[in-house]
Amino acid sequence: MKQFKSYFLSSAFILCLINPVKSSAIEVMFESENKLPLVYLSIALKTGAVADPKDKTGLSQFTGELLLRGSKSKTRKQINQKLDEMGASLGFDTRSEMMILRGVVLSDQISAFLDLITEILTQPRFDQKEINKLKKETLSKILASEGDDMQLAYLHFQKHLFGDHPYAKPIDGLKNHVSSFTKKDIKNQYKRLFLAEGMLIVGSGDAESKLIKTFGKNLKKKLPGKALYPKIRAPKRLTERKVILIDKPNRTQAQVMVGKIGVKLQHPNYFALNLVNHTFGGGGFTTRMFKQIRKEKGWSYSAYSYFKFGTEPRFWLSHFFPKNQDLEVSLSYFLKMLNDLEESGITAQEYEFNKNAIINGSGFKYNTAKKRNENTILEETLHLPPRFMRSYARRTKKVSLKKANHAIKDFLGKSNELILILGTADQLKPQIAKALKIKEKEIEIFPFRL
Amino acid sequence: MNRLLIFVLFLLVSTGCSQADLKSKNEAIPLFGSMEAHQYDFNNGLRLIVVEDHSSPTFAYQTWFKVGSRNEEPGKTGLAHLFEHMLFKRTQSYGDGDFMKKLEAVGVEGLNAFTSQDYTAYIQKLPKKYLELIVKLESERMQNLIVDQKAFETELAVVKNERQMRSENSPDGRVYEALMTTAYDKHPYSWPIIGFEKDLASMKPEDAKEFYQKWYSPNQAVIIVVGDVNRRTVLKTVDQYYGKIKPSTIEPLQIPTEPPQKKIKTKKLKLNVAYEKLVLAFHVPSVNHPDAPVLEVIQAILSDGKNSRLTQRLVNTGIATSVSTGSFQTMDPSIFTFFIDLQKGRRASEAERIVLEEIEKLKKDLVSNSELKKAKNLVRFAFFTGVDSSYSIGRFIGSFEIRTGSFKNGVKLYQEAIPRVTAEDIKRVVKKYFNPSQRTAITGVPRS
Repeated sequence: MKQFKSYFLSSAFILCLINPVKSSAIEVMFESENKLPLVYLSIALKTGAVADPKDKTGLSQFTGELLLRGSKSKTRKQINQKLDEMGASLGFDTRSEMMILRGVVLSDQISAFLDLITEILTQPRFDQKEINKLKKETLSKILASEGDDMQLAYLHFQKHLFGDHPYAKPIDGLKNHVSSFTKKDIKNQYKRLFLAEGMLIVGSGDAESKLIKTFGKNLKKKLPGKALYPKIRAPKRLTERKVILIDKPNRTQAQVMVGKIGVKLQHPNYFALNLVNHTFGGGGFTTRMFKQIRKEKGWSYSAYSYFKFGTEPRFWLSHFFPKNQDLEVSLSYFLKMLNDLEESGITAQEYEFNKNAIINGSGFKYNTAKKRNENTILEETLHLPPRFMRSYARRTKKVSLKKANHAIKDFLGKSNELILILGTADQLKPQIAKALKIKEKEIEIFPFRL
Repeated sequence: MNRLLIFVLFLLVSTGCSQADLKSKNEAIPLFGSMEAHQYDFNNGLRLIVVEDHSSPTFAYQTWFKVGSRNEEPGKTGLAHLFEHMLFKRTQSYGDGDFMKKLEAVGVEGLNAFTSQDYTAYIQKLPKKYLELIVKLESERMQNLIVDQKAFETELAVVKNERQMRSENSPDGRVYEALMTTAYDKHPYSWPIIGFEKDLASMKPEDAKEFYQKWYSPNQAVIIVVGDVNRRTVLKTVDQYYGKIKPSTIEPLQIPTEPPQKKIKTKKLKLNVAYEKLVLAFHVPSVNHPDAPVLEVIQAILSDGKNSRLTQRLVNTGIATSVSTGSFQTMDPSIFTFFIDLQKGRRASEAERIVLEEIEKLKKDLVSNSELKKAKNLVRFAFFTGVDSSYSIGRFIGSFEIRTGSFKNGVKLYQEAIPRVTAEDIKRVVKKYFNPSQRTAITGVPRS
């Protein structure tokens, strides 16, 4: 109790305690608030793209999207008509290890909205015409991502860092895989994914908790219970530094991504690493990356680093995007920054500043009902302890400077990073070789098409 | 009991009689849902709007300036946006980087700024106890910024890099820039907010200094505070730090009026994309015009929700992957645009024909009552989902304050004017503004 009180004062936030309404198997958590006539609802499955079968990358995302395109009694057009009439939106957000059906509705339509969701989730139509249309749309979407340099670099980064691990899979899928999806594939994937035990319902807004609880119970009755989601293995770290150049013509700017396999949120060193990352590139406008790469040198509009998390370690990534002419100088400068971080760690002054910044800002992780809902989904799907997302201030307080610097030395010191650059190869290749002091032939070049 | 009464009375007197140098009396103005706003106009021209919302122990603090790319001169495009970057530099009282350092130390969230054609805004959210800190810092940079050569040059390099990211290396950015330069001949809306490359190349620190002195003053600003604050404390604090700042003298802007578009304007771009893109635009009036609410409903009919007319004809038929429409809702006469991404192998010309057909249908036939009701419901839904955080409430208030003179116009637009839109209004407005022979069409095609 004492600890709780001091945490709360130091972070300058008052905890808004929620009383989650739980029903068995399908967990239901809802916060009533009537500021606006809206209800937000998320129905999360505790698996996602990692559950795509071999050679069927993108199938989970495809299956979720197809559910919105027809139920036993309603065509896609009728579902959409109903949503528009209610004043509502409904869409699937598929990630590597979670799938979330996100809905928002004007509160006077909540009952009809819940009925529609139940119907969509439990009585899919799997219309062949809609399957064909969705395939075309998905293929176009994949092509569209090839036009966005940042997203494209990110997809290539994941692919080259994780190799054959499920984390390498793009959520939307691969072109040849998507083309091969059959109705049978989709039906099987639906059976594998949409199970009462793997489902979590969270929401907030202008509705009674009781109504949402009843909805959860009814949904449970209509879905099979046993969840057998695949457990994934930990990804293998690179054994040596890998330098990849993704060749895209007519670029005036290069996307630079440098990173490596990261850690899990539950890792004993995570809060120490988070503190160092906050100092190096994760903390906003006062980080080393921002100050040196953007503010002092003017090389890139943005320069940052972050961890991405999963049930197994995902990655730590630094990103900036200089103009072509600045690539050599900015890349070698950045690698020196990274080397300095590994060798000398962060200073006592940086440590104090960033520690306080994390502690003081930690309340923003859970200051609105929507964020608390997202935290619940994250905690459940990544198997984190309850209220983990509220523990940043408390856990960061325990990190010493020595521990932080020891953790980063241990994390960085194995020369197993991936350096991926997307841009026009003939202009960038010699610069990369010079910056890294390697021969041009040591740089692996890949076409930009996915 | 008596002592309690005396205490309460003292409290009322001490908080109710503010010494703020106000031009007008505070009034509570209904906002939406259960919220209300309090507006204070200071004698130096500064406006303060406070919305108390005690649901989270935080507040959003936003400073909106009545200056955007429309206030720039030809040859100096991009100055408003560049200046947005400069405002994070050193001031007389604080060194370079101190502004951000002080805020990040106390756990700021969403520290940022943005520039549009009509305004520039500086935003952040803070734990409730840091009100005085942000008022002090923001008032300092409004009056005491130092523009030095080195900071200017570095930030200019950053902006050029940002331009490469947003325009040169982005297919959508290139299409957007082509749209504005083609649709407008005279009006400053024709130039990109980030500026033309050649103008950025010739920009000098003196340009930035002059711009600052002219546009960054209390009479050009609106401060918006939304969250867990006491409005009287906010008023007192803002008065303490801003009350004595002198207003600037602004000569009326001579912004050229855009002449009516008399012919079709087209442009074709070769892009690094695998599919075609189409943007169509028609000139429409400003956000404060009586026809603005009708245009909102037309947008809903054409592309909002999942079953709109163009979604059905373009997306559900497999011609396009996405379609969106809408007015830019600017301060001066605006454009109503149709953005369409085609599916691979489909032609922009096919989508253009369908859009023009749908426009003709709206001119010919009255929209049914059920479709009108559905469209208004979609607008209502979009409105409420667009004001569901302290940040977005501030953004709603700020954008209407600058573009129309009062956020009350925004409340009226969504709560009074849109419910009154009729099927006849829709037919009349489509006929008036959506003339195919006065359209602008930008097509993006794959380079190879």
